[in-house]
Amino acid sequence: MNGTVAEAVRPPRKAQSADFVAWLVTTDHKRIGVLYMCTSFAFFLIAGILALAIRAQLAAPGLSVVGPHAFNELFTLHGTAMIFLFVAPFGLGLANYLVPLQVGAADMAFPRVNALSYWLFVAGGLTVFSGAATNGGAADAGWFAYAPLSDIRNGSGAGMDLWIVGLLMVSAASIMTGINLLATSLLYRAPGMTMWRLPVFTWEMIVTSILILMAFPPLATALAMVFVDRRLGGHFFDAAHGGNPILYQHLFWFFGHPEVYIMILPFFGVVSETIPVFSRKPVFGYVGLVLSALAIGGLSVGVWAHHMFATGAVTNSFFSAVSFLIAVPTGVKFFNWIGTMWRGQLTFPTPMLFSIGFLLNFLIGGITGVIMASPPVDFHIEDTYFIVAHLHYVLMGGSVFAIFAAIYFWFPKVFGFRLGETLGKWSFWMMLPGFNLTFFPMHVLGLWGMPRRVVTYPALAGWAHLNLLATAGSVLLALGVLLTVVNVWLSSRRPTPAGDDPWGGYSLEWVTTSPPPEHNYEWIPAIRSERPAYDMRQTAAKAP
Amino acid sequence: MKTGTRMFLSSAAFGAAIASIYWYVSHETVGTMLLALIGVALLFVAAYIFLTVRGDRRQVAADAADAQPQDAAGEIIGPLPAESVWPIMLAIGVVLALDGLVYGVWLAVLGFIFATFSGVALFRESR
Repeated sequence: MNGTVAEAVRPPRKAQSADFVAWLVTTDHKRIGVLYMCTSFAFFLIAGILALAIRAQLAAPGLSVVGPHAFNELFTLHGTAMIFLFVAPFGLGLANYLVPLQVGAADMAFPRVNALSYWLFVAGGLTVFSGAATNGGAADAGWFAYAPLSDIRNGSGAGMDLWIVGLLMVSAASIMTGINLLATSLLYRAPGMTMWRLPVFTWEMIVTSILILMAFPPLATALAMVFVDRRLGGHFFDAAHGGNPILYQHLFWFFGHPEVYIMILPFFGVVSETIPVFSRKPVFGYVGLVLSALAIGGLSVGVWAHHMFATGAVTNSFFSAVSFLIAVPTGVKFFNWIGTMWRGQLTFPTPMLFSIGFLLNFLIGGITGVIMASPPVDFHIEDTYFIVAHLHYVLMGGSVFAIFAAIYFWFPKVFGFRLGETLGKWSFWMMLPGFNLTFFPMHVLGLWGMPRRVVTYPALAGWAHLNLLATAGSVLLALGVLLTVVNVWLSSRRPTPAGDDPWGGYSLEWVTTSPPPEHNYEWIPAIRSERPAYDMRQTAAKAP
Repeated sequence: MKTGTRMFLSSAAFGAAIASIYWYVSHETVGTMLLALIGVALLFVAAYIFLTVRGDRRQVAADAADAQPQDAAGEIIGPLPAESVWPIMLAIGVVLALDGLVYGVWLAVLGFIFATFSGVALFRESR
């Protein structure tokens, strides 16, 4: 058990060495956070390469860049990496770094468990990808691995099994991190940091953590049952022997839809931190932002079967109604962000640009989500490219743009120097059009009937020019991402010290040094509002 | 921790309510059970916070709007662990055990032994 920074007397930690081994055995939440974010970003780059291969295959009708089986492996690994190994874990990594700092704690509640979570995440990710080296190839049943596609007859051999056990490890890691974040944010707050003074990012992580604890156990259960079916002769999902494939869909989507919010709520938190700072205003409607996060979290557990409308085996009216309802708290957040910017002294450094990109893209993804909540519309577009466009507007245009905002915003705090603004803006202005060129045409392709997960399509279908446009856009998007990688490399070669608070930040982490000391704070100010760093600057300015 | 307790209590009530509504409109057992269990789990957390955390001096200071930084000072509850080899060792053990389910029982047994040893060491180090 650990103490908080507020304790006046505290035994010193052992000195940390900066060598490689020290990173392997670290239990410091800041180092683990950095490891989490770097590892998940590496998985993102791999997933991006897989996506480029998919787009190369679909650039024109009748191409044979990859074969049908390899194509199945590509979209399975791409989806798995993006969802299980990048977007959600990056949010957890960011929270690992920020939550103890934002609540005024010296570390996470359970530092060793925190380290175990990270290493299980790494092991799970590598296990999933190790399937590619097996005789049957990697898993090929899509990222949601429906039965019977994932059974022993259809799913590729050991690759599918490794996918299952890999995701079991990732599930365990996520659950442990969720417990850790919840305990830290609830029980390790500094004096005066009342719940209603917590930064919005920390609130979003509280809701995210609760969702993790609700959602991942059903996933682990479903995966274990698939494994039993495949390896131990079970028939949970085998209709021919009395099993029920629909049960798998229930269990999977009971995880899967809250998972969407596990992947988006942390980034609602990110833009709720960046937009006020670059509008030079307090966030508009703090209580509304918090309550809407809780409402989204609550409603998100009641929408799982809107992914199953077309099965005819669920109560469509209930899931449709709750799916419509969840747009309300999400809309509240949009009004909060717009209200924050309204009549603010807006500036547009790179983190703000990516935050606005998030707003624009996520708005489109959110609206198409409402459209699909209507079962008659869903019947028409189910399993078409419209779905692919929608989910990418939410997760790539939404979450990933906010991830880039977070990288540019907190990089100076983590490493003590800023990323180059020029390259950052170039990166944004390539990613925004690149993203929209790639995914907006997919709405149209979906409405025209192009099914998802097809390796090729006939020339006569009339889908060629929009597919070519999407492929061209994906190249531009990839170059934009690459520019940020180059930016990190160039900025680290010639680091310019950023100071402790380069943006004039509001939350508590901007009070401490950049990078923070081992115990996060040498001293801590009296906390009197949800903007302690701002309060401290104001007090200093008024001092004689 | 009134806010935390209220948050979990109201969330538990929401779980019970949505489970009831879902059962009423669908009569579907899997989803109803999952939703009801969410309510039970959240109630458990609320009860834990209510019974174990209330009165804790650090929590009182955290929840006091006019608290000073030194209000929670004084109690030494042990050093923060800076480094530990056991988390990574335990993770390696778990990987071997689970991958052993795919590649062979011998690897699973090896992994299980490795994980058990590392887990015990991690537990002993944490005491």
